[in-house]
Amino acid sequence: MTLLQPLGLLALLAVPAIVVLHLFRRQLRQRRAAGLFLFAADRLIADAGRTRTRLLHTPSLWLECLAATLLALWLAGPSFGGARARHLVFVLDDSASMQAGAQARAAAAVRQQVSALGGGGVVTLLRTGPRPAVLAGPAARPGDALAALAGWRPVQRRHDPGPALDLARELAGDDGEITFCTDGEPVVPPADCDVLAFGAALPNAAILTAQRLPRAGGEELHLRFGGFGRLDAVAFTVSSGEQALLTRELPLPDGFADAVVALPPGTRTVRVDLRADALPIDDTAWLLPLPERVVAVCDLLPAELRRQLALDRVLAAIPGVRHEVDAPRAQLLLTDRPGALRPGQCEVVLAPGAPDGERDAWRGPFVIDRTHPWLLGVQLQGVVWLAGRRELPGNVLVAAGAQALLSEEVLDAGRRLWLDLDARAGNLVRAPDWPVLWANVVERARLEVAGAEANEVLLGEEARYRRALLAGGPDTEITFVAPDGTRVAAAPGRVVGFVPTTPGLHRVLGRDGTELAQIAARFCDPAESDLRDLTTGSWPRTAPLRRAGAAVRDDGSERRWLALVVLLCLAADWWWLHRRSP
Amino acid sequence: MPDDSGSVRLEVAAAVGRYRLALGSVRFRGRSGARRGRSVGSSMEFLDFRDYVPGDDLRHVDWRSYARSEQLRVRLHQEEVAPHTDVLVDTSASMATTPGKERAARVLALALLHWAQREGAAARLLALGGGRLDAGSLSFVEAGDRPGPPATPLRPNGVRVLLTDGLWPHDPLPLLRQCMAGAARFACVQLLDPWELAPTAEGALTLVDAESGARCEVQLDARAVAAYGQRLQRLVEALRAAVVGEGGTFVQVAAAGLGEMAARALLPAGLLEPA
Repeated sequence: MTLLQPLGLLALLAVPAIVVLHLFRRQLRQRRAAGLFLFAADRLIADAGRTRTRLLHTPSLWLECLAATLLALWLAGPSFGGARARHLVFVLDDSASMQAGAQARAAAAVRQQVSALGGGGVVTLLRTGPRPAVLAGPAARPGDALAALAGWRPVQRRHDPGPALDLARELAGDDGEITFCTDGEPVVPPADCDVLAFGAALPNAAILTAQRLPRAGGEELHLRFGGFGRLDAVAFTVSSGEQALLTRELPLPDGFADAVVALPPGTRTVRVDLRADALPIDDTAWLLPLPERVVAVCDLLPAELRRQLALDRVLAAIPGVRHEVDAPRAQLLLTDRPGALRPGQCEVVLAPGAPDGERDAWRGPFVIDRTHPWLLGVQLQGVVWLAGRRELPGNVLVAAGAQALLSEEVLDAGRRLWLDLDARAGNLVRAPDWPVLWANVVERARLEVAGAEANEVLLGEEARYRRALLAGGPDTEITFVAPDGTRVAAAPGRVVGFVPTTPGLHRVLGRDGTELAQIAARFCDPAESDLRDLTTGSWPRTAPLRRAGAAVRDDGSERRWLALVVLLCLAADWWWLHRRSP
Repeated sequence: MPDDSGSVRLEVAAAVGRYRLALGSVRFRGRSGARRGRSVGSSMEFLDFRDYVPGDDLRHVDWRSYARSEQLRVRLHQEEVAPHTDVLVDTSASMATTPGKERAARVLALALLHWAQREGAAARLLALGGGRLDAGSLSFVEAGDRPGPPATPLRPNGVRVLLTDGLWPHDPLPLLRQCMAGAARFACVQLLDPWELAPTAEGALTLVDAESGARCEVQLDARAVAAYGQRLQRLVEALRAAVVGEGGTFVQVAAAGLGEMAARALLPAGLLEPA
């Protein structure tokens, strides 16, 4: 015998509970009697108050304990061996092309098989994908499986169904029957599964590329459309809010068409729609305004040192930079001595040593870690670097001889860039490498600006939001709201993310429901948009079922018998408790 | 109380003619009847001679004795009476713990009354600790935890029958002596329900005292039944010893129909005799 549900073990706790109740509270059958003093020696409890007495072996106690035990067994889902009930395992192709009619036909076929399953049968529903998921089950009741089937929406890009089929084999065991529902002919039909294809070859057009790029005086929309099948042209509409900006039809000479649309200044969310066709999921794209990610720089350097380093001039030349006087709110700190950092902050420490210390003028050659993001494009050709004689902490990024000139110290709460540079002499500050170095540092710090890391993602990719982590800030509690209203609370952490499964505009709400950001999600996969190879057919399994014999038995018979016995016990208990003395 | 007085009367009428009270040779007092009285009467049975005194009935002069001795003597004859009969009924609620016991008590009380009346006696139903009872509306509702003799004075030299279950926790002797004082014949009929005589081992029960309403939870298994039987036996023996020791008749009756109770208990015990 096997127990399929651990809930039954918990239900066994009812047995000691019943015993305790019988110890403290009894309701016995009554009888009028004379000469009660003749029974005084056999009485069970004291006259004053209710107290615990020895356990009475009444039929009520045994009936209730038996009912509780059988109920626990019923909840545990017992199986007494022998032939198992029929177990159908359906693997549903979750690729987006199933939306072109195959999804409805596959769901109808699954419903028909489940309805014909009969009593006692169980169903497992799996969804394919890079990470296969269980929609119902394992071994769910047919009603639950059908309810889960109603909520199935295939939206994924082209993927391998192999992991889902492997999972199905594990869940099916020796006697499960696996059916793979897809929309095309499998490359190699699996031998142990029935394959049912419900697709149909149809022409389809799709948005392949949709980009919103800044241009002088405004923005431009760069679009690329693909046509699969016998399509001569593609018609599309560009709109912003309720206002249609453009409607155009483009020829598809080689199956592709490109369009560039100039957007008026101040245009907010742009929506691009294709004319309705076989697969609607690839016909719409949303493009949000480019996010403004300004790096806050807190300059704590002495004025003379700042002048020597020409930082005002350098930072003014880098776009998206602002000065911040409150150090905890800055992403980049400039200082001549290290301080405490918050998560995500970068601190540049100009530390050539004591002002009257010994200095060395280094002319090269310099050893440069060119793979580091801070040093991309830094050459140091012809540079004379005046540095103090000191050791820098962290990983050396630039060195001359045995002297480290620039290093990175990775801390628990940020990074620190150590720069051994005396700007009173040498020519590094006037060299072209100087603004390149700072541009790299600023761009690296820009990644730490709070907000959505990208405001446009493709379905199946992760959308991320970076918190500011300021006490009492609006992003201490974050909720992701899908276009269909589904809400998901974000986990703790500085960077939180979710994987959109619905195309459209997803909102990131902070505490008090304030909208922190919008993220547009669209579907793009030319392989899925190409419906020309879809077909309808069936490929039966070639390997026989591994279970012995073909007879199947109603697996719920044990549970039904148990339920009947439980009801009989309860009825007998009720009769016993309500029986009165004659 | 169920209104079964009609059926009770029919049951009594059917059985009362087959028996009569066995009163023995004891001399009673009472009105004229068929039993020997304690004084001179006018029955056919000779008692004694005495000298004639003026005023004596000349019909009782023994003329043969006068012929032999020339002295006037009169013949005295035994008085024949119907004895006074008092049926003392324990009207405590314990007499009605079950419908069967209650019906048996009512049947027995009415039957004893009828048997006494068939003797021509002046019979009364008296309640322990109370007054006269109406045979048609007998009820058992008294507390009865410590019953006393009837409030109505008992008649001397008569027959007294006490109908009770005798399930008293205290010594019954004082009450019995008060009930037996001055009686020519006394009988104690202990009426018990069959379950009281031999309870069944039916598991846990809440026993509710019929008189006080007190509750007692017991586990009535074989051991408890045996222990109860021993305690009941001691109680009955004490009651029997008290009755017999004072010259009375004790009979234990299990509640049943009147014919069965008479044939199986009252007749063997000598309280009744065939009519």
